[in-house]
Amino acid sequence: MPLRERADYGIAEPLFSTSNSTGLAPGVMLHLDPEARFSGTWSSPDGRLVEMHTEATRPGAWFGLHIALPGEAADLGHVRWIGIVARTSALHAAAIRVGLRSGLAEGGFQDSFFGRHILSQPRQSDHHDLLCPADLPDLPQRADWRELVLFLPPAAPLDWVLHDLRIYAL
Amino acid sequence: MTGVARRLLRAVRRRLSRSRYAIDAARRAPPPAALRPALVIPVHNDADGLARLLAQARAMNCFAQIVVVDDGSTPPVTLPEGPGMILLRHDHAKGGGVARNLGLTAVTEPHVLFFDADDLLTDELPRLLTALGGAGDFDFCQFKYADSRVQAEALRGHPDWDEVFWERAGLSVGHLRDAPPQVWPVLAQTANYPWNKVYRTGFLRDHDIGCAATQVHQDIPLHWLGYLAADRILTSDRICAWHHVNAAGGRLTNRSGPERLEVFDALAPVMVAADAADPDWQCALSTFVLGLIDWGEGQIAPELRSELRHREAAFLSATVAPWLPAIEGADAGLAQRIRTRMEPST
Repeated sequence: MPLRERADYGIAEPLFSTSNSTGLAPGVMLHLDPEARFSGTWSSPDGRLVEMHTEATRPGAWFGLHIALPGEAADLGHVRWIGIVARTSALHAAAIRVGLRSGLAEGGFQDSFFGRHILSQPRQSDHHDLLCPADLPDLPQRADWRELVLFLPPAAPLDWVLHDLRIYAL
Repeated sequence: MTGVARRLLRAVRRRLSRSRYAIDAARRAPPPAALRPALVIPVHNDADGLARLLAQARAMNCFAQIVVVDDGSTPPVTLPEGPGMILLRHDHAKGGGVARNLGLTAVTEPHVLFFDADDLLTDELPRLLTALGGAGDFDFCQFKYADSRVQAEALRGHPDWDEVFWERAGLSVGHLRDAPPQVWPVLAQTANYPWNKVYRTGFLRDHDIGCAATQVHQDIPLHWLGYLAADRILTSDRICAWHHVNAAGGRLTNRSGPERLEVFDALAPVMVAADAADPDWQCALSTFVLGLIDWGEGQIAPELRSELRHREAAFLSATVAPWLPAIEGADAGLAQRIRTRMEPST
């Protein structure tokens, strides 16, 4: 399940070569703290979503993989649970926080975090977690837009593979 | 699931899996043709396992040739007919190493993968073969495997004793990477399995690399001589093999008889080849030998343990002793351990 139409069989592309944002696919972006300086590469090999390597020449406060959720996610009135399932691996263990970001009508956004961090480690591992909107009074039931954000380590080198990611609502 | 939820799930899947994006000029080139290696399978009295593996391999349609070597099975193995299917036979069992070597002689494809009848391929293998098709010349590519003992701990992949070397080499992640030569002595210390690598057939033939004719540990020369002779080694974190371990089964791993003492015969050609190698290799191989004999002591029948240790002492004295000055300079602790093992307690 590569991000791109055709698996790139290993051709890596640069990250953050011209700005602190890199688009991986429509609605899928890497955003980096503007104060930070990173170099790195990414690819989307066949059978996995993203494989990336980053070096932090100037550490930042945040670094996130943002996945825009479709318009249907604007209204969570009938959604009891939002779940994620992810398979990851990393050269050095990395803890990755996952949040649901809701765009507010007045501007800005509200983050609602899943309870558990993804722990990526050298061996592939699976992670799953749930959000229950009814238990999160700060989570807007309606929002202009929503994103799933994976908060990656903003100050350390990262060799990371997102093998698979599924998002579901029940 | 509500209608909204279903649409949300479908839309997210579409976004993640089928998004169209600007494709730069380099990507407009046609994808490389996937490697279509030969698959060599030795089998001894495991018709069910062979049938399962063959069904899987044929369904994958990624092998140009499948060579089965029946190592004295009773009744003899039969094969389904098909293009590229070859059946060879030993009338009496000669061991998996001799069977693999015979199978290799029949390979006409530029690349070869050895597999055991009781293991399984995974759907990651075709993806690796596609990537290897665009990787240029290489001597072998070592990939990861899944082990039933790891799965029993709710994890995925191979055991810690292998993962630690991938980590130390800095190659734990990456669907296809060039392994830098300085980490080859590290990676070489992974378990000496034959079925976790795609070899270039000409590389094995040019260097006369094959398996030992011993009953156990026959894969040691294939593994180590490959590492010592290679010019280019690739690695992949793709899990392409499923290795099932049954502690009570008839696998070679579970044998405990005097055949365990043949380990020194299997190691002998590797020690000769490593004579000309640099101290990193000699340290790596010595560490491997000490660990292997420790493991073998746990496998061999108690009444044979003393004999194993005496033979180890003689073997180390004959092969590793000349390396000790170099090893001393690189790893004094290892040199001390070797000296201790060269003097077995009675």
